[in-house]
Amino acid sequence: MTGDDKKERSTPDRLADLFVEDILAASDSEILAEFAERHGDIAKNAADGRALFEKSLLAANKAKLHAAQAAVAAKRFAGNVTVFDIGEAREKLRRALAACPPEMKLTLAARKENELSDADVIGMLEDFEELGVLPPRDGK
Amino acid sequence: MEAAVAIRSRDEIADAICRLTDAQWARLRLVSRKYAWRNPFDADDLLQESFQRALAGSRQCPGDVDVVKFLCDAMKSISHVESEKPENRAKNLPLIGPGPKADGAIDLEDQNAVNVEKTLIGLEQNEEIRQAASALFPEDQEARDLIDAIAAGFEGEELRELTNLDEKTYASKRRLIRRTIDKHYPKGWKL
Repeated sequence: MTGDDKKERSTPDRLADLFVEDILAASDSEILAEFAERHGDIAKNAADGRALFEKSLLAANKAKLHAAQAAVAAKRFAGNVTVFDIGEAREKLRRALAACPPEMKLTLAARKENELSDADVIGMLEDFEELGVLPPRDGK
Repeated sequence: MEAAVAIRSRDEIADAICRLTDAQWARLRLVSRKYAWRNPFDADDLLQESFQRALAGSRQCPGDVDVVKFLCDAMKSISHVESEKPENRAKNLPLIGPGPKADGAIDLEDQNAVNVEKTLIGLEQNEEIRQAASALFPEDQEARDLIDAIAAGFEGEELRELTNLDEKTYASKRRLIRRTIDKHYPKGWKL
C-alpha cells in the first residue's frame, strides 16, 4: 500500500483491516468455533461459498467462450474481407464481358454493366473467378 | 537478486479455491462481512466480485501468496474503491444543483468546495467512529490507545510498537476489540 492510500483510508476502513488481520491470524479451530457460534452451520457456509464460486466460474467461462468466439469471428471476417475499388471492378467486369466467349450465356442485364449495382458487379466478378473466366485475385 | 515469483494461472487459482477447507470458507465469509460493513453491496456480492477479478486476471496472485489472503486483499481493494465512489459518499453531502449559491450550501460547480466538504464530513465521521469504538472500552486504556493509534493512521507492527504491547498482548487486544465491536455493531457502523 502506498503512503497516499494509507493516508486516505478512513477509520472504519482501518478498523476493518485490523479485524481482517485478526481473522487471518486466528487458528482454524478458533475460526470454526467463532463462525459456528455467531453465524451457524459451517458446512452450509462452505457449500454456499462453493456454489457462489461455481457461479463466478461459470460466468467467467462464458465470458471467455464469448471472447474466443468473437475473436474467431473477427479473424474469419478479416480473412474474407477484400477491399474493392469499385471503379476498377467495373472496368474489370467490362473487360471480362467484352472478352466473354460467345458460348457463355449471359443475361441482357449482365451485359449492361452500367446498370448493375456495386454489389452485383462484385458478385459477378466473384462468379467469373469461380467459373475460371477471370484469374483469382491475390489471397483468394 | 531475488528469483521472480511465478503468477498463479487462472486454472491454478480456480483449483485452489475449489480445494478450500471449511475453515478457509469461514474466514472468507467473516472477512467479506467486515469489508461489506460500510458499503451498499452485501458480503456475498463482495466475495463474488473478488472471485470474478481473480478469474478474469484483473488481479494477479503470486504463487507464494495464500489464495485466501489474496481474495481478502481483493475484497479490501474493491471495498475501498466502492466506498470512495461519489454516489456512495454523496448522500452525506448537503449538495445543491448548479445555480445561484445559497447560504451555507455547496455549489456543485465549485469542486474545491465539494472536496473540502467531503474531507470535513469524512473527518467528522472518522471521529464519531473513533469515539464510538473507544466508548466500548471505558476500563481498558490499552484498547483505547490502540483504537486511537488506528484512527491516527498507524497499522501493523507500528501499532504494536506504538502501544508498547508485546505480540501476545497485542493479538489478544486486537481480538477483544474485534469481538466487542462485532457484538455492539453486528451490521456495521450505524451511528
